[in-house]
Amino acid sequence: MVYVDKKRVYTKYGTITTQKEKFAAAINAINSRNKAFKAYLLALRVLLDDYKSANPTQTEKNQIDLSKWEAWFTEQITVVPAINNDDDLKKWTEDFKEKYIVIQGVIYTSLVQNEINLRQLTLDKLQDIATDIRNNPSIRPESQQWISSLTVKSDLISTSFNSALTYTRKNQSQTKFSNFYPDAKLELNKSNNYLREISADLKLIVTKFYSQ
Amino acid sequence: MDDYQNQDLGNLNPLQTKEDQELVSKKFKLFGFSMPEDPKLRLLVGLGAVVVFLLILAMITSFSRRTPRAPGRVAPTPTVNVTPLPTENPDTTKLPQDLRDKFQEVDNNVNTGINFNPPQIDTEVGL
Repeated sequence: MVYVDKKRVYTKYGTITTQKEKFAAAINAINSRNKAFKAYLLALRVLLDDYKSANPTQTEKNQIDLSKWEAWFTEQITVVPAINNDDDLKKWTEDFKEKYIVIQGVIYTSLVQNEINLRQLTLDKLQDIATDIRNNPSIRPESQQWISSLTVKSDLISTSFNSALTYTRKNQSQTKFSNFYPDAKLELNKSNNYLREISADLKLIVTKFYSQ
Repeated sequence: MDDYQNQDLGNLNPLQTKEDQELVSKKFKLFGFSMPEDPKLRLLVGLGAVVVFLLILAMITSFSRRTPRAPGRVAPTPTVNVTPLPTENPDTTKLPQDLRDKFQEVDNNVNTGINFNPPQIDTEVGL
């Protein structure tokens, strides 16, 4: 907000003093922003550990990308305060605008991967439950035919994962970030619905065929 | 010299009667238009007529495609295919204890959303 105020005052009066104040406010704002981004990227990288076991290779790649930008922001925390003129600041800002397109891509790709990992682990858990039901002597064998029909929904979940990942691979323009996250999120929600259905179906199978 | 006669002028042919002349002139008329006698020219005129006919047909077809359909016939807008949730709610109290715990974990996962959106920023700061 300070920067917005200083910019407005400079636009109104256009004096050297107001220009200097606007410049200082911009440096402060950018520096705070860089620190916030560094913290966010670190938190996201750590968050990916939670469900990493679902796909360690791809998740590790996402974490490497995140740590690369984390290191870049760390560097900028010392670079930006050293900028002492408007031209250099403008050059830095223009450069950042281009980089920010890539940064957003890395962030949203990591978020999508994290959500896929969680759902994959949930699906694995449901398959474990299905195996338990198959092997449980207290559950009547008529349940088998119902359990086998669950593979159709498992396939639909995998299709949704692939569709979500396809959105993350979309090429970005050099001037504007095209946010693929809402589209990917739709696919993820779809897979979540299938997981709910499988869970409900398995519960019904157990309650119907379980005999103590 | 008096016997000289231009053969291209039919009406000067003394051997041709008036009826014969009318028959010849009718023979090369189509829809009231006189057709040239040369077969190549007639073929050309025929092809031209076909081209004009196809052109008119194409115009009519494209016009009918461009014309919006009546409101009642508009195709419905496709919607996102969301799978409906199961309507039957199973009674979890009837589940064996070990399975109940596993289902509980699954339910927690599917009902937990991950909201970790990045900070929204103004990239024009500094310009």
